[in-house]
Amino acid sequence: MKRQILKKYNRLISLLLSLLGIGGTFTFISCDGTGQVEYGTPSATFKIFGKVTSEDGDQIPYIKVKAAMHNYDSSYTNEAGEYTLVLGSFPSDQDFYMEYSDVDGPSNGLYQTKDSTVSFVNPQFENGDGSWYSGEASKKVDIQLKEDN
Amino acid sequence: MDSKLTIRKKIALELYRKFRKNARALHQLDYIFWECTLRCNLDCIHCGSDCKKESMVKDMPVADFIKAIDDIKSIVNPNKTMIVFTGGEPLVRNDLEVCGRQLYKRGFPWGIVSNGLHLTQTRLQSLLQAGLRAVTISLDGMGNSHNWLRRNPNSFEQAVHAISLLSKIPDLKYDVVSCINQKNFDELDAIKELLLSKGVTDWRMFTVFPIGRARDHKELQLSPVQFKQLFDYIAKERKKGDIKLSYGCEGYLGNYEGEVRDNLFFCRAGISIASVLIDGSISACPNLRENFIEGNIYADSFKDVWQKKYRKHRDRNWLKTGDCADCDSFKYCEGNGLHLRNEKGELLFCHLHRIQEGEKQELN
Repeated sequence: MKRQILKKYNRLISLLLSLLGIGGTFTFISCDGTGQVEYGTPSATFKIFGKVTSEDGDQIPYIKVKAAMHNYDSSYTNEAGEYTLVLGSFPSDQDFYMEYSDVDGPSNGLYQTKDSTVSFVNPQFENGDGSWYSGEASKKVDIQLKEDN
Repeated sequence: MDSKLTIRKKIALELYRKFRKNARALHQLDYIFWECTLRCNLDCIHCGSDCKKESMVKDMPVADFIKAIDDIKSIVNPNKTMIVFTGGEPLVRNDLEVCGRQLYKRGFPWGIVSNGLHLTQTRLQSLLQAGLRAVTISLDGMGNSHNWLRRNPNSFEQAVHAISLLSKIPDLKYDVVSCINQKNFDELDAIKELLLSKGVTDWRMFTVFPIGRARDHKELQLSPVQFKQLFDYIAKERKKGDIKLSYGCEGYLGNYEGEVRDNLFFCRAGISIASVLIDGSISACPNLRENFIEGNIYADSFKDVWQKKYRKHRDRNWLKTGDCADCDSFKYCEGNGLHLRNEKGELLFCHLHRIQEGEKQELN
């Protein structure tokens, strides 16, 4: 928790520095607040978004979405069952092992956890900086969860 | 411009003090150098290391380095941790691809720093297939000045050839790094034009400090006036924007901070950067002296060393001695880059003082 606070604090400082005309927002933020060192680190953003529904087509809120086996921040579906997960990674083909789990108890039904592999093959990046940051690639992934009886 | 801080810079540097403090607390490793060989195909006048053409030191086996990486993998995000093969000249090793594939499989981006002499189309393709993501090529001037420093009549041609090869690879990140010295100081515009003609977008400069072979070649160092003029040149060229020119990460520059590179000065050695040296030593940047070695992969766990040691890298107050003791800039530079400290921890070179010296001489 403390590490997350420190990281967010440094992102804020990076933003303030950008406002002062020091460095680009990307330069500081892209490397998780540490910036380019001697040679730069190739990086890219992968955005996975979509909707989580039941087998009956009902939207499911508060489903936890995370990329398993990675220490990435997780995300949750909103009231409309929609989610967005933004992952920083290496600008090449990627497989993200996603996990969709019901963590809020029976309040809106109980659902089985679902694992899914989201593959980016020859990803098309947008809004790169022409240098080390390739930009963002996105993919829509809708998920159906089975009820846990 | 001059080195005296403007209000805007002071605010920025004060904010950045907090950034550095947080980064020290995080101590998140995200950059690893591997000194994979001490062998080199050149015999340069200047070299940051003490490498030799025929080094007596054997190259570290790939398996040993990978074992160290596997040890530390659980405390880093591989996708955000760059591994850079350095030397010596990495391309003298024929098994870089073996190591590269192992790293790629584990999700690490990796790159090399090379003089370009051994880079051919075939080798480049082979490296790319092993996951090579980044290359830095050294180009230290136009023909005569580059070859003088590299002490090889073909090195300029080969370095330019290597740059041409790299520029044709669409997704590869590469930059050119130049050691600016008395011989090439008047060639900066010519070098820039050459790089632009080859499609180079990123150009980085550094200056020689008294380390390695440069200790014996005073002519490699710029005069104080030239030193200051170099930063004026970089600041001016950055505003033009036709090439992304920057000064290396090596020293605090007063009011030139934020003008000649993207980031404010922060020596990250041991804070987010580690290195594995040829004999297995675990250090921070590879050009730090032996007194900064924290362990050895053949005797210690890389992970344990990173988590439990590096105290003198993270708390720099012990560097507030000598010229730094009463210096108002210490709070911003924390004693300059650790690679500029000798075996006793004494500061060998202060960038800010050299710039100020140049300012005074210009006025006279």
